[in-house]
Parts: sequence; C-alpha cells; structure tokens
Amino acid sequence: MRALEETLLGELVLIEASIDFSEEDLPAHAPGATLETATKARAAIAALLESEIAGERLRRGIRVTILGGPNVGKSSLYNALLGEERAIVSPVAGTTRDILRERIHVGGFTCRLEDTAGIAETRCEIEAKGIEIARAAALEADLVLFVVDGSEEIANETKNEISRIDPEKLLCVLNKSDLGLRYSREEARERLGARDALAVSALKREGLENLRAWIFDKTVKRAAGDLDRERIAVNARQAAALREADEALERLETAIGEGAPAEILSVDARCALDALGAITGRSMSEALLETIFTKFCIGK
Amino acid sequence: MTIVEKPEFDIIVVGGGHAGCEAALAAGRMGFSTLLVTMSREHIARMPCNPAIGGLAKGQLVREVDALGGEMGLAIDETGIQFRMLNRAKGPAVWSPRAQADKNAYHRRMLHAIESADNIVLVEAEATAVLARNGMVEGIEAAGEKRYYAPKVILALGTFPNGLMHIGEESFPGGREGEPPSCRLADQIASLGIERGRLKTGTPARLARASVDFSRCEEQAGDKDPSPFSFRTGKIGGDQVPCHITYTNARTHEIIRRNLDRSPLYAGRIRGVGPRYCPSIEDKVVRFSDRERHQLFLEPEGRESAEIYINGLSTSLPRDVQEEMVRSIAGLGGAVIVRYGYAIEYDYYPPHQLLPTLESRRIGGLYFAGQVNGTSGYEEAAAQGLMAGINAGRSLAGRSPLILGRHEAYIGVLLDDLVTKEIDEPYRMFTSRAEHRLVLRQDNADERLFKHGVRCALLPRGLWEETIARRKRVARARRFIERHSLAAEECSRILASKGQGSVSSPLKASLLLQRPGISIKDIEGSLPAGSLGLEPREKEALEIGIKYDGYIRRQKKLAERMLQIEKVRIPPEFSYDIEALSAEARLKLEKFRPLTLAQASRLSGVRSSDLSILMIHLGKRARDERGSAGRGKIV
Repeated sequence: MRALEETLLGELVLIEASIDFSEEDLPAHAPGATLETATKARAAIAALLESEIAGERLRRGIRVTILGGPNVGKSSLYNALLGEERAIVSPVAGTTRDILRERIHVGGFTCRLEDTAGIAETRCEIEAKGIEIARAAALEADLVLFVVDGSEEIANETKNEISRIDPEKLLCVLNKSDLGLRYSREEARERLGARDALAVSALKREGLENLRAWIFDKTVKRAAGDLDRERIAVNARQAAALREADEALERLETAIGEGAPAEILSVDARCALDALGAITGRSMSEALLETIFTKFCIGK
Repeated sequence: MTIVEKPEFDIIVVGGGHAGCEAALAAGRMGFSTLLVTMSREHIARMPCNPAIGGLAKGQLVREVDALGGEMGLAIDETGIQFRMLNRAKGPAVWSPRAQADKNAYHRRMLHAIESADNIVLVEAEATAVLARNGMVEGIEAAGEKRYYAPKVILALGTFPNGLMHIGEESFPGGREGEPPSCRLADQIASLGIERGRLKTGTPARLARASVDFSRCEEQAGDKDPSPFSFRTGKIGGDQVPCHITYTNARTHEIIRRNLDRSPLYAGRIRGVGPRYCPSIEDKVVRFSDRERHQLFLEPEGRESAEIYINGLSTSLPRDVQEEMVRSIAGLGGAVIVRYGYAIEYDYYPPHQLLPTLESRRIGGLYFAGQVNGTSGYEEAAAQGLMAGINAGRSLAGRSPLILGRHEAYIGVLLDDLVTKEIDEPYRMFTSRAEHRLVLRQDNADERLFKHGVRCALLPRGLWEETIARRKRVARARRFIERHSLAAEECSRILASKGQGSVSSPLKASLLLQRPGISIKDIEGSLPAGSLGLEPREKEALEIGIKYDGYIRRQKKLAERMLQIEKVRIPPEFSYDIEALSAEARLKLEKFRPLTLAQASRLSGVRSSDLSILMIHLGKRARDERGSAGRGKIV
C-alpha cells in the first residue's frame, strides 16, 4: 500500500511541480508516464480488493458444507465435528431436510459448518426441496465434504453427484471406517473422481483430526498464504477507500487520454492519494511539497 | 520623563512595509483614525529582495487583495515595467499574473497613497515597546519615551526584529541593507509572554546595468497584451522592459565549493532556518551537485534604475567570492557588483499563537501581520496586513470578524495554514497548498471577494452590482450553449481544425467546448450571431465554467464535506486531557488550540481516529451543558 502511495505521489509531484514551478528549469511532466503509473496502480488496487474478499471470508468464517447420499452419516460427522449432539440422528434416511448451521474453530479460524439433506431420488416434495437447497449450498460453499458410506459399494449416482462439485474445494469423506472400508483411499479417489479422500468414523470419532487438518490446509492456509500481511488487513472501510481511489485513477486515465491539462490531472491524482491516505494515515499535502523540494532544485 | 497622551488613535500600525501599508490603508478607509509608525518614510513599501510582484500563487493573492479593496494591485499596475501571465500553456485555473516592479516608483506610489489617505497619520519613529495591561493592548511606546495610545495595535515588523546580517565571515546587526534592526521592541514583545523563533532569508548581489553584456543572454519579453492585477485598472500603459536569462556553469560551482568554509551558512554561523523553496546558490550547488547549471534571471530594479537583480543567485559568501562567482557567468564577465548579496536572520513569532483574525491569543487587540508571522513574500505580507487591518476595524466596530474559508480564497488558505501548521521555515504560498485550486482562480477573485470588500466599506457598492450583472450574463450564455446543438458536420469541421477526430451526430455546443483544445473562439462562429453577447472577459469566464464543470463540482462537494466539520466549534478552554487521544494529537491540539473540528483535522499528527474521539467528547460536553433539556447534536 505504501509503495502504491509512493509511486502515485511521485507522479503528483511532477504534475504539481510543472504548475507551481513552471518558471524553473525543471524536467517536463510526461503524461504518458503518469498513465502507465495509473494503470499499474489500478491493477495493484484490484489485487488488494480481491484480497478484501478473501479477508472478509476469513473474518466471517469459511463455509464448509457437508453433502452426500442419505444415511451415509452426514449428521453424525456434523455432530462429531461440533463435538456435541446437534443434528437429530436417526437410522431412518432423510432425517435432515433443511440446512443446519454451526460455527466451529479450526486452527484458530472460524468455519461455518453446514449439514444438508441427503441426496437421493425422491417423490416427496419436501425432500426434493431439501435436496435442491443442499446442492445450492454446496455450490456456494468454500469447501464441500462429500460423505460416502465407505463400507458400501459406490453407486453411480454418487459419482455423478460428485462431478458437479468444483474439485478444488472437494474432499470425499469415507465414513464408517469402523465397519471396514471396501476400498483404499487411492481406489476411492479414482472411482469417485475426487482429488482428496479421507477415511473417518464419525461414530467412533476416528480420523477427525486428519479431517480438521485438511480443512485448515485447504482453506485457511491457502487464503492466508496467497496474501501477504498487508493485504490481509484490507477491511470493508479500506476497501471502500480503495474503490474511491480506483475510480479517481480511472478518471485520471480518461483525462490523460483526452489530453487534459495538468491542473485537471492533479484533481484526480489528489483524489486517489487522499483516498489512499485515509488508509495509511499519511497527509498528502504535507508529503507533496516536502518531496518537491527534495527532488528538485527550486528557487530564485 | 515619559510623556503621556490620551488615546487619540483607533488603530496603530507599526511598520510601513507591504503588510503595514495595507493594514493602515484598510483601517483608514474604514474610517478609523490610524497611526502608521515607521523608522523612516523612505522605508514605505520597499522591496528588499526581488523587484517583482505576483508570480505563481502570489499573483492570485494580489488579485484577492485587490478584490477586497487593497492597494497592492493598483500600485503595481501603475508602476510595473513588465507584465506576464504565467502558466499560459496550462489551464486558466493556474494562470498567475506577475510583474517586474520599478522599486522606487512603487515606493513613491504607495507613500503617496498613505500620505493622501484620510484618517492616516504617518510618524517617523522607532517603536520600542507594546503597551499592554491585563491582557489587553493599550498602545505603543516610540523611541523609548513617547507613548501613543490605541485599543488596537498591528505589528508588521518584517525582518527587523533582532535582524542580523551576514556577508562571508562578517555579521552585523541590520533590518535590511543599510538600515538598523529593531531589537528593543523585539525583546519587549517576547517579554509579554509571546513565544519567538528564528528564521533566515537572503538576497543576491545587484549589478551595475551598464557592466552586463546582455547580448550573451536570452531575452525574456513581457506579454504583448498585458493583463492588469487590479479589477479597477483599465489598461496597462508604458513600454515593457525585457528581462534576461543566463546560467551558472561548472566554473561557478567550483568557485562556490572551494569557498564553502567561508560561507556563514556552512560554517555554522547562521542558526535560523531558511526556506527550502528559495535556497541560496551555496545550497543549490551542495544539495544538487549533479546539476551542471542553474538558471538565473537578470531583472532590472526599475525602468530607469542602473541596477540589475540576479534572480537565482541568493548568497552570503564573502564579497571577493561573490565577485569571482558572478564573473564566471556568461554575460557577467565584466560585471560590477553595486551591492553585495547577504543573508539575514530575524526573530518571528510563530503564528500558532494567533487567532485566524491574526489577533494574538495572549494579548487582546494586538495583531501580527507579515514576516513576523514567519511568512515570506511581499504578497503574503500584503494579504495579512489587509486582513489584520480589516479585522481590527471590524472588532472596533463590534462586527463579526472576516475569516475567509479555504474554499473561498488563497488568503483563507494562508491564514488557516498559519494557525494550523508548524511554521518552521519561511512560509510561501503555492497553488498546490489550495485544495480548491480550480475555484480559486485569478480571473474570478472579484466574484469571490468583492462582496466582502464592499461589506467592509473598502470598495464602492457599484463594483459588486456590476459583478452580479456580469455573472448573470455569463449564466444566460451558458444556458444557451448547453441547449444549442451544432450539426455533426459543423462539429467535425471544428474538431478537424484542431486535428481531432470527427463525430457522427450533432453535439451540444457546451459539450464541444468541454473537449480539450477547443476554445470559445473555435465555436463562436458556428453560433447564431449575437447569441452570446458577452465581453471578452465574460467569454473567458463562460469557457472556464464549462471546461472545469465536472471537476469544479467535485471540488465543491469536497468543500461541503469539510464545511460540515468547519461548523463544529471547539470551545477555547476545552480540555484535551482525554486518554483515548494519541499523545502526538494531544500535544498538537494543546499547542494550536483549534477553533473548529476542521482546523483540528488539519493539524499534522491528528488522525481520523483522534477526530472521532474529539467528536464524541464534544457531543458529550454539549449534552452535559444542555442537561436534560435536549440532546446535543454534533455535525
């Protein structure tokens, strides 16, 4: 952010010097260079704004949706991760119809865990509605835990269902490992068409640590690793300031394109710097003259 | 024995420089009996440094001083010898008028204004003390014995307070070339509990005109059609005198470097802080050692004057070095130095001790104007003198002070900066200091300020009425071109004549005018004859209004945002002992004691979090004061 501010200030300094010290023997201001800076700055701002989305996600909590066929143990897994009995668990398939939500903490970060209705062919309208909601949730989720009954053979519908999900955010959870798995993790990956698979027993609370580690690695680490420390600090207020800066820079680009004079370019460049200053706390007007006097030999 | 006289004056002005003259004239014209005390009438409105008035941002100040009824614009219009509008290559918002002055003619012109003014008495004496009792000013003492009484005193002392001049290894007391400093008064002011600091400035050598070979320099002529500074001047008369440009070179720089140990600046004898924007040639050579040359302007000190001022060669090097240095420069090989350059250190009274009216916070009725406030420049001084005069008068008359906003005038920016900034180097105005530069133009100073000049009885009412009529005509013409469309072929033809691409559909005339490079002259011929009906000046105003439209609106919006917090007043005795404030903010707030939240926001070190905290506490205080009667509302 500081670097971005510095480059923009550098351009404003040239613009201002060309106005306030036009009688001096100074290098001419080149609008082309300012345009290049503005364009680069906008790209940097766009990257920062993207990080705002990631940052927001971290603050609000990562959305983890549990999906799968009926009676494979989704709610058991949900409860196991919560560590308490929340969802109603019964041996009858289709017990969970709406979405259940609860917050859990993984490695210090918040996750919003969602339990959904089991996906299956059904004639019941209410169940069908529940399935529709479940699929929609999986689509919006940051992570999907697709649960299968590891003690049973894999049905074709299961493979179809899995293929709808973005493989980047998918983990196949081979539940009921306590009953003995019919296939290895590698086989499961191949047969289900998933990149990651883990064996757990929700009932016996086995393999949950691995599951938590996977959630941590996959989301929190990735989101945080992408972003350097400064970027992650972008919150909603800062994002608004960045958007203001971006709009000003867009106007600056247009103005340069139209061949507008220096005092016009200055308005937009100042707007952008003011907006950035709201984040960094630096006063542009103070830095401006300071920089001009340091950079240029000015005076009668 | 002390001679005591009864208070026979309303306002006393100490100092007859650019600040003092404007202060005295404003006071006199407002009908107050005014005493102007100066060491010598020969000192009135002298220019100890460059022979010029105006320039970038300074030109705008002069236009504003004029639009408030000040004298500077009229005086330079009558006596200037070369007029140029700077920044013509850029947009009109940053055009600035500048004139080469005839120093003697300017002095005589201003002296005449003072001596012929009603209500002003000029006395030649050295002021030695400010008389004050119970925190209120009572008058002054002159020459250690004579007392003059008045409820208002304006100090416009320039560089005289404890002035110490330096040339090479020599230093000697002086207020200016050949004039004694003012030391008793300077110390006595400090004894009243007014904090002071030390600044430095300098001036170059003057050359004998006949000894300069101008054929080896570039000529710089004045404008063919010179624009006056004053809205009340019809036309600039007289021939324009040229200036010349030459440059320093490697040899000049070598001479300077070789003699740095003899420079009072580099040998550490000067302690005062000099301006970064006006460095001595020693500074330039040391700080910008990669520069192969520095530009110099050779400016005549007057139409008939035999002296040439070397703009750009300010120095305090020893006399023999000055000579060697000057002679190394193209065109100056045989130059004879008439007067040597010098540096001067002087006391100033940091202006955070003032209210925005320039009245001392410590001593009621005592005003400070000009270089004593740490500013530099004739124009900055004149602006302050005028405002101090106006406000001293308004206070005497029991009227509200005239405080101009930052969105209203450069003068507003100047005074606001003085009371909210750490002035630790001589302060000069720059256009970049003004947030609302597109609105604060030299062309519209009358529209912005005539109303105040008229309200203060410094200008005749008719001027304001004319301004309103002009504004109406421009507005009417604007409505016309905003509605009147030009055929596509017509637009394309105009655009093509400027090397721009064509359009396929008709355009409103205003939209065409908004395009860069298209001026009112280009489209005028395509409008129905007589549809604009404007004078040249009004056409210019129309064009500026259209061209800057969106930008002016954006700046106005910003100004309004700031006005919101300008309205939030901070009581003078407000306690900043608030734990949540940052330590730096608390220090600054206690030092500057801002009058409004907006002023607080402009203090360096006060961050937005501090402002929020202040707002909460101000709101709480307002609620407490109103008790259960109603809830305090802030902003």
